[in-house]
Amino acid sequence: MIPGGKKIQNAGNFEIYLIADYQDQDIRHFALADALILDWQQPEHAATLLKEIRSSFIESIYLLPVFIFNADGVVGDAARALSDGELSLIQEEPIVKVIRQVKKKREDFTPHETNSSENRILTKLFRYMYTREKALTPEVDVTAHMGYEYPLVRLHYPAGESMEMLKILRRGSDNDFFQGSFIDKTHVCPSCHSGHLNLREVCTKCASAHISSENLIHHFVCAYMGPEGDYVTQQGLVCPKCNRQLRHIGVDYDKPSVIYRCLDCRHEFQDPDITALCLGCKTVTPVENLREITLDKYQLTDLGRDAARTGIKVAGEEREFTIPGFVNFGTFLTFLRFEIERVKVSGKESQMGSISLNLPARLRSNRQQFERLILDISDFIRNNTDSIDILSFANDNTFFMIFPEKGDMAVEKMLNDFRSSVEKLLLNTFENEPEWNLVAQYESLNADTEYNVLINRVKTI
Amino acid sequence: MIDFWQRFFDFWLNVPPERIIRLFWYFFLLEVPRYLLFDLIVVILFMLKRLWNTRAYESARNQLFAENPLISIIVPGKNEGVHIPKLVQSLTEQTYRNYQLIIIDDGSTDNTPIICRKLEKEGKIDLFLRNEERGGKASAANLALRFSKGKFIVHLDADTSFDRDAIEKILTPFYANPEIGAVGGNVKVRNAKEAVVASFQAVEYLQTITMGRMVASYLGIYKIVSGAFGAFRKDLIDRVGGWDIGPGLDGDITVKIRKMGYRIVFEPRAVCLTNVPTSLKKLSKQRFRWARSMVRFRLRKHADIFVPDQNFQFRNFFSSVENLFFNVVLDALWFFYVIRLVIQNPDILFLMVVMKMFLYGMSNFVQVVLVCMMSERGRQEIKLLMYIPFMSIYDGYYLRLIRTIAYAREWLASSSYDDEWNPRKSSIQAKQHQL
Repeated sequence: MIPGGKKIQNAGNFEIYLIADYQDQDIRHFALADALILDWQQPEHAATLLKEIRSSFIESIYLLPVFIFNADGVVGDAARALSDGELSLIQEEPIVKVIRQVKKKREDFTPHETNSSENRILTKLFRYMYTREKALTPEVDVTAHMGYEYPLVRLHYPAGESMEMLKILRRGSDNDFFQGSFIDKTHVCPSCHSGHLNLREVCTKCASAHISSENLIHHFVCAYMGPEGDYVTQQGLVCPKCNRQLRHIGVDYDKPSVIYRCLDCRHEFQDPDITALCLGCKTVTPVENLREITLDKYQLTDLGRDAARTGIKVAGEEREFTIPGFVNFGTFLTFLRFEIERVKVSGKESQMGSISLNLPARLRSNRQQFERLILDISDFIRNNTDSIDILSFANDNTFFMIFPEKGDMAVEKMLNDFRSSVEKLLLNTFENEPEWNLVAQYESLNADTEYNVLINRVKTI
Repeated sequence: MIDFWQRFFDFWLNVPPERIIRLFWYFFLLEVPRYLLFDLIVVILFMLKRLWNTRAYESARNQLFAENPLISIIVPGKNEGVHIPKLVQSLTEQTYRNYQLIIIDDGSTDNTPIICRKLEKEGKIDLFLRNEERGGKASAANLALRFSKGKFIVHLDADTSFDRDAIEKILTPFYANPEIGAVGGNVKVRNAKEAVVASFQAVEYLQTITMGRMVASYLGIYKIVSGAFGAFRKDLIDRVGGWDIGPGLDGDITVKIRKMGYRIVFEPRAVCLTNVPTSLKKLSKQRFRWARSMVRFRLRKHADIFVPDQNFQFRNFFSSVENLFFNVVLDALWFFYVIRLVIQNPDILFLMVVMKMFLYGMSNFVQVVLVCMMSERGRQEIKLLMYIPFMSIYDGYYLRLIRTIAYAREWLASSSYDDEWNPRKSSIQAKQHQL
C-alpha cells in the first residue's frame, strides 16, 4: 500500500495506484508499485513528483509506468514527455499494456554497475527508451535556459548546463548508441548558452538599435530617386524634382528598396547589422557569432538496445578510478551486506556514512583537477578513520564509509569534521563557484535494517 | 602583289594634283582642315596656354588642398561587382583623400551585393545602396546624388581605374575658374591588348577624347562630360535636378549646366582607364546607343539651343551646330560622295580605296603622334600606330555606317525608347512625355 495512494482494482491484479494527495510523498514507496496514475488537479505537485520519479536511479522507480489523469489539457510538453500517457478516464487496458511491455523488456536487463556518472545516465536513458520504445525528442520550453529541452535528460543537469546535456546525447550518438535525425536548429548565447535572445537591427556604425527605415521611391518619368519623405506633401506624393504628382505605383513610381537612418549618429545605410542581446547575461553578439545548436531526435540503435540490456561497455570509459585504501563500490556493497548480517546476528549497531559532493558537471570536466581533489579528500578521510572502517567512492560523487560499532555520536561528529574540512577544500579549489552542494549523512545498521531497502537508498544518494 | 603596287604608284604619280584633290575633296576640304590642321593649331595653343597658366594652376591646386572639401564619388551600375574591388583600390591610392564613396547597385543579378556589402563593412565604401529592381542609370545616379554630402560630385563608371592624381587633377580647375560648372576627365582604354577591336578603340579614344575634347574645351564648345569620369559642382547638379532618363544622360546634363551659363572644361591630365567592348556586337550596340542620343537630345530635347530668344547663347549654339554638322550632316554627305565616286570611277575603285586608306592613315598618324607627344604614357601609346593603316576602315566605314543607321532609326522611329538599356517602365514614361 502506498500512503496517499488509492489502489485501482484490475483484472491483471497489478499494483496500480492513483495518487491524488501529494503531501509528504516518498518515491521509495513506489518501488513496489506496477504503475501510477497522477491526478493532475494539482499540476505543480504532480509534475514535481513525476520529475522526482524519473530522476531516480533506482530502476524499479524510474522505469515505473506513470499516467496523467484529469489533466483538462493543462499538461506541459515536458511532463507529457516524462509520462506514459494521459487518461481522461481511468481505463485498465492502456495501463496494463504498458505495465506488461515494461515488465517484459526489463526481463532482458542484466545488473550494471559503473563508476562513471555519464555512463550511469546513459544506461538509464537507454533502459527507459528500450522499455518504452520511445525516442528522445527536443521539446520547446519557454522556461528552459536554452528554450528547448530533452525532458528526461534535463532531470540530471542543473538549469544552466544545457551544453553538458547535449554533450551526453552527442556522446551516445558518436558511439552509435543513438541514431540522430534532424528536428530543428536553435541559436544560443556563446557566453552563457541561453536561448533567450533579443534580436535587433542596429546601426552599422555605432551599433545603436535606435534606427528608423524609410522606403526609397523611384519616379519613372524624371528618374528622381530618394526617400519617401522627399515626396510627401499635403497634396499627397509630389516629386521634388519635376513637381508631378505620383498617383499610381507601378505606373508612375515604384519602391525598389529601403534606407535606414540611425537616430543617434545620423548614419545612413541599407543593410543593418543584426545583433542578439542575451536576456540572461546581457552579452551583445552579432548574429553570425551566435552558437548554433542542432536539435536531433535520438532513437536507439541495435548497439543502443544492447547497451540497454547489459549496460555500456565502451573501451576507456570504464576506467577504474582507484584510490588507495578505498574499495570499489561493488565490493563495498558486499561488505555492507556482510555488516548488516553481522549486526543482525550480534545484535550490535554499526553505521554507514556518506559524503556527497554534488558538483555540477562543469566542475568535473577538468578530469585531472577533479581526480586530484578526490585524492586529497580521500587522503583526509583515510587518515581520520580507523583501519577497520570500509571506505569507497562511487559515481564520481559520493564517499561511502562503513563504521563497525562506532556509535551514532562519534560518527556524527566525524562526518561533521569531514564536512567542514571538505567544504574548505572545495572553497579553495573552486573560487567564486557557488554551485556545489555538500551533503553528509549516516544510517544506523542494526537488526531492523533491510538490505534491499538500504541498497536502493544508497544507489539514489 | 608587286604588280598591284607597281600599278598603284604608276597611276597616282601620273595623276595631276588637281584631280587627286577633286577625287578626295571630302578629305582635303573637310577632314584635313577640321581634324588635322585645326587640331594641330589648337593643341599647340592649348599647351601654350597651359604653360602660361602654370602658376595660376599651382595656386588653384594649393587652394584645393587648403580647403580640402569633402567630395562625393558616385558609381551607379548593374552587375559590376567584379570591378568594384579594383576601383576601390585605385581610389585608396589617390592623392586627394577627402571623399565619400557611394556605390549604387541598380538591380544586379550577380554577386555584386555580396562584394559591395563586404567592402562597406570593411569601411572601403561609405554607402552602398541596392535597388532590388532595376531603375536605370539615371535613377541610380540620382539616388547617389540624394545621399551625397560633398561639395563636388565625381561620377565614375565601375569598370574604370585611375591614375594616382586623377581626382586631384579633375578638381583643380574648379579652383582656377569659378565659372566652371563641370570638368571632364581623360578616358583611355585599359584593355587595348585584349582584342583588335579594343585596340582600334584605344586609337579612337586618343583622337576623339584626348585630342578632340582638348580642342573642344579650348574653343568653349566641349559638350559631353563623360559618365566614366566627370566632376560636377553639387549645387549645380542639385539645381538641374540631377540626371534625366538616358541614353545620352552624360551629354544631357552637360548641356543643362551649359545652359545655366557655366563653363565646361576638359582636363587631359586627369586620366582614367576603362574597359571597352571587345566584340563587334557589343561595340555596335554601344555605338548605336551613343548615336541615337545625338538625335534624341541635341535635336529634340535641347532644340531650344537653336532658337534665338533671350536664353540664346552663341557658344551653346555653335557647340550643337558643330556637333550636328560634323557628325550628322557630313555623315550623310559622305554617302553621297562615295556613291558618286563609285559611279563615276568604277575602273579605279580599288586604287581609290587604297589611296584613301593611305591619306587617312597619314592624317591619323600625325594626329596620334601628336597625342603621344603630349601624353603621360606616350611610350606605350605609340605602339598603337601599327593599327593606323586600318583605322579608316574602322572609323571611316564601320563607325560611320553604325552612326548613320542609328541617326536614321532614331529620327524616323524614335528607336531609343525601345532600348533595353533603360527599364521598360521608364521608357514608356519618357516616350509618353517626349523626354
